[in-house]
Amino acid sequence: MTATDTSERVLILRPTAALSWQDFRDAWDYRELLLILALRDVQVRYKQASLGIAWALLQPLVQMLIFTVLFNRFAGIHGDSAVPYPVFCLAGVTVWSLFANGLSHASESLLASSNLVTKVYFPRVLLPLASILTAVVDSSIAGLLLLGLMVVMHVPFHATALLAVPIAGVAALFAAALGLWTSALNLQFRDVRHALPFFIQIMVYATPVFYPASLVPAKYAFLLSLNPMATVIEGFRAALFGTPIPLARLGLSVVAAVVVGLLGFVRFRHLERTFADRI
Amino acid sequence: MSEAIIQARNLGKRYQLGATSGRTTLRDALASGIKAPLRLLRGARAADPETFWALKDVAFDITAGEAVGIIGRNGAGKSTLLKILSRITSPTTGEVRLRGKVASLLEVGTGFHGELSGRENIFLNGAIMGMTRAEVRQRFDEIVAFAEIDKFLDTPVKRYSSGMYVRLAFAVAAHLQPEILVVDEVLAVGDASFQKKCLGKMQTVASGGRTVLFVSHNMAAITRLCSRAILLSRGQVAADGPVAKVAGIYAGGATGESATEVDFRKRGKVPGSEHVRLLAARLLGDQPGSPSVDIRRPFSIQCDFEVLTDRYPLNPNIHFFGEDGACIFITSDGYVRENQAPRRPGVYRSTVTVPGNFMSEGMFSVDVALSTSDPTIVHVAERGLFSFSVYDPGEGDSLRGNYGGPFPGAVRPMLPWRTEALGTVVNLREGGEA
Repeated sequence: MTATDTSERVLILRPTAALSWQDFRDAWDYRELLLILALRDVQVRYKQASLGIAWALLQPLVQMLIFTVLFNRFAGIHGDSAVPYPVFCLAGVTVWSLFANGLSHASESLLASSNLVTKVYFPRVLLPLASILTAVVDSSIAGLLLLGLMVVMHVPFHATALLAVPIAGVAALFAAALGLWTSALNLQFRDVRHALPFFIQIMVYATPVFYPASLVPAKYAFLLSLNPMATVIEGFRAALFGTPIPLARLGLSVVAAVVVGLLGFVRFRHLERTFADRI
Repeated sequence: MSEAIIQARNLGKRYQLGATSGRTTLRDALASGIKAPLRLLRGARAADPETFWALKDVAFDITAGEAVGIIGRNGAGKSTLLKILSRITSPTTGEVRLRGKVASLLEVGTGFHGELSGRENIFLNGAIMGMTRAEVRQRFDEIVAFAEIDKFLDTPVKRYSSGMYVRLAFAVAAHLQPEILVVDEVLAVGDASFQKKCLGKMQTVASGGRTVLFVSHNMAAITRLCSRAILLSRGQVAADGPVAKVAGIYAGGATGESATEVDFRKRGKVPGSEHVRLLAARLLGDQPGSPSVDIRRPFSIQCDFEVLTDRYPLNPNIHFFGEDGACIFITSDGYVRENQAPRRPGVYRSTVTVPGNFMSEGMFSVDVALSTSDPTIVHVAERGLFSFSVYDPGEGDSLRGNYGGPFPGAVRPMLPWRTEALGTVVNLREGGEA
């Protein structure tokens, strides 16, 4: 859609153009808007709700309590680290919600902002990315809850816990990479908005959120290794609780997320030309 | 000569018609994907639905500092052109070269969020329109003053009256400083005094050396703001040139012939009765052939008619209608009143001159009739023969003077006024309500 002459600052609007550095520069030029859009989402969400910011705490807390009662007390599942199950579970829930909320908000972001998409230009990629940032803010609040619970339950802190933050970032990276695909495809195929919540719901069971990866029988373990979110959650817990971090698998996950994200960006840019016509 | 700041070449935009416009279901895609597996990957569709070209082969150059009006009827492609220029959608064919930062104002208050306060929305809207935070902060006071909302700065905008909302929205937009400003119909909102303020602001922008593209149905606003106009018709450039000329072509567009003359003899169908026939009617303005008239200059309407019998006294009369269809006034020949006698058979030409500084600005359409007063017989009544626009070039010597805002009224006569000084005023009541 756009390209720049090198000789002078000329913007050329054309039917098609391959992805170029200009696209990345364009998105970079609008970085302030990214923050403002994310800020808007956070502000609006907590202004409308009378419980305000407490919702960001309540959701993971309740989810953790339900998992603890159902799976720990009733079904007898235990974490594999030497930490109490509630802490083990909340760690999983925190990272998982970052991914799940980020992905589902990103998918809806273009439709939710159709008034912007049809009325004003800015790199559309900001919309799904801002949704991810909003999820990051929510999860950071949930992260404080996790720290609080660790203190209350006397879980010792390890120096590696600092690594938990960038590892959680990989979950956001995955949400962004997939969100680029789903947000654009959501305009093309409205099926996405029905299929995605279903997919996320299934994935919470296929990911070691409330159970340890070691619970999976060895012959099925390869299935977990196909799920990058499994690696991210395991890595997050390992860093937090001071067990060995699966660095190689995490590295692979980052590479996978970046590849999926770049391909998603190419696809997004291709579809972006017709977003306004499709909404 | 400076290079064009906007260059459009061979610009075209195709839309799909029908229920499937632009949207496919996954099922369709999968079905066609099963039939032709590669197609699903490429995202192409099995059969091309019906399409239409909203724009086709549009080309123009706009020089920096020009104020250009884009006019045309509904569906002519104006909005599509603005959407392409403001990068909301991309063209199907051709290209546009832009040598400057574009800000588009297709709607006021884009991105406003009802839950956020006026202050928060100023920053949000500013960022969406392409301003940096620092730029917004720098112009913040100006924006608030322009919008006149300082008392409600921290109130959520959902509690604003619609007037306040629009004022705030326009205020942010008005303080953008792009090289190219693209504006669509935004002046159609707000009350009269605010419209006046907006129009004034737009004039400042246009005269400040920035390039303005302005789409409006309000021809008076276009003629006042723009020096040049581009007329779009069915997605193509139908005319491009000085605003008065193009506005005239637009006005005459309905008949499809010369905008200022209707010649029934050439059409081969002469309206009339057994007693009289209307042969032709034309507008004679100060610029021959142009259907737009300088508000300060007189112009004439001329009609040619052929009297066939001398049975009735015949009265040519001309009706002027405004844009809203209301009759502005009717004028008729005084001959019949004075003579009360039929004319002898033959061809006649009646000309009526409307003085300068009498009509208001706007578009007017003309009916010509030939009738008898007693008994009342309408022999010929041709409606909407042609339209013309009256514009004020804004040189200060019309009734408008240096006032730039809306100026209501069906007519705008320059009447003789006399104001005399009555000496020094004393003994007015306290409070000064005189």
